[in-house]
Amino acid sequence: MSASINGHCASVNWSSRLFDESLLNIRRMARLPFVWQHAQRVRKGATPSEVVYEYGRHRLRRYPTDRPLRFRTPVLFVFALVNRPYILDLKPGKSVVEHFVRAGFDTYLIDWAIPTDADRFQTLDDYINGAILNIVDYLRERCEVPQVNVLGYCMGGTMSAMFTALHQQLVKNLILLAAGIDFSGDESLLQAWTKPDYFNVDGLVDVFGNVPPQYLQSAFMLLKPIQNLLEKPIGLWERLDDAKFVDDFLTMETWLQDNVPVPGEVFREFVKYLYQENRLVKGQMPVGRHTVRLGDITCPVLNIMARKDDLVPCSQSLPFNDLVSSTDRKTMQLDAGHIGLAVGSRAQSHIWPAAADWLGNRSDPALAEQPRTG
Amino acid sequence: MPNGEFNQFKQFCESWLDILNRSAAIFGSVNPCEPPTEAARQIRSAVFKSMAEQVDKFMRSETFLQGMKQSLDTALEFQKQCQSVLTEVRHSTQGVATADVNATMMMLRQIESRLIDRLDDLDANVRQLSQRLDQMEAGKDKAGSPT
Repeated sequence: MSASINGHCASVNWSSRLFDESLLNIRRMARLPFVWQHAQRVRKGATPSEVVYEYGRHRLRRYPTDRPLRFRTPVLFVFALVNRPYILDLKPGKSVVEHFVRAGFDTYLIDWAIPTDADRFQTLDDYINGAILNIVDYLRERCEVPQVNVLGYCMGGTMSAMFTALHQQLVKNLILLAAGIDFSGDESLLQAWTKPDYFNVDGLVDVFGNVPPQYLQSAFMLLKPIQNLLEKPIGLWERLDDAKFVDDFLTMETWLQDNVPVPGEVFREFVKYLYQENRLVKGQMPVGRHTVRLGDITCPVLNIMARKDDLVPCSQSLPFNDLVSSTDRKTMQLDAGHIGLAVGSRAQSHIWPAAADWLGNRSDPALAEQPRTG
Repeated sequence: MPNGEFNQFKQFCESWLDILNRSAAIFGSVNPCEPPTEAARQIRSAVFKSMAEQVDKFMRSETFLQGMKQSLDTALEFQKQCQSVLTEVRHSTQGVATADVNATMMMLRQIESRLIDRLDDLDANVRQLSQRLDQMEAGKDKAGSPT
């Protein structure tokens, strides 16, 4: 008798749940056109900014605010050449820039813009000893300071480390965010794929010039194909009625799909000298006529990395602190992925307030409180 | 199995065994009275996890890397041939091909880098001279100052 009641109860539960699931799926289906509409209206960048300096195609963005400046030393964000930099200022509450603006820093970001075929011969030297150096000189003049704070993310972090090593006198503090430094390991798939036996980087650059964004996009997608092609769309489908989730998802996807071509020569140097020959840790990395020696870095260093990063694993970033001559050096690690390090909720609540504090303690205080728009 | 030969049969069996093991562990906790929605989700997640691990192994294998190399080489060869044909067509109509633009840009880059190198040298010389002047002036001041 009890078994029959249990069976009846189970069958009612099952059919009721099946009915609910079907209704939910119909509701989700009905939402699809709105999701599509939403995707067309995703805003790129949250904090208001103005272009204050242009160097060729590159633009220097400043984030003005009515809050008084607490620090005289400005902070300069250097992003990678692979995607657009607005991941650092994705949306309110998910913005690294916002943390530094709120903390009272005069905050600037280099927008590398989209390279054209004319940029195919641009080298790391043009970016590091050309663009970044010019921008830093401009900032020093503008803010009337001898040094600036530099924060580099991903490939921008590697470039920032090289810049600091070559121009230590211009950098007050250096923050690296998921920056590849030591490419000797085998943890990341990119390291396996770029081995000289399998990857003809010279051929690719000679034939294509700039590296097409589709090529990079498919490589990044293939790093986690099951997650990107199956789990992600299913996850979206299941939470289609959660407006906040959909908004976050679309904002992130818009950025992920917003790849830009990478200047061919920069790509060649990066793959050959770093991924294939690991020259940066050996003190043999050529940038134009100069050689980068990380031991020349003496300023305070904050090295932030993500434990679940599939693009730049911790093993690539960790050795940095042992290679520099700085006495003031710190590492922060977070249980997040490469992008989560910038926009994840744990990064927003733990890492960035702490990083802003760290930088504040090592920056010159403002002479007199003045609104930065002045 | 980093960079080893990818044994399809072995990996196929391993993958399915792994999926079955993970699913069996989840099935043990299912209450037959309740619809197994959550269990189904867990099984799906276990299947994806297992698949992801297998795919990662495959993408590090010699088989995949060789395939990747071959497809890139083929794509490059195809692109080269296309460019060569287009260059010939443009040249035959006295037009300018991409290769010509690239060659011109390369020349300009060489001139630019030579100029920058010279400017760097001059900059270094000027710095050296001004340092020497500073030292000389400092020496003069020391010599001239009353002790």
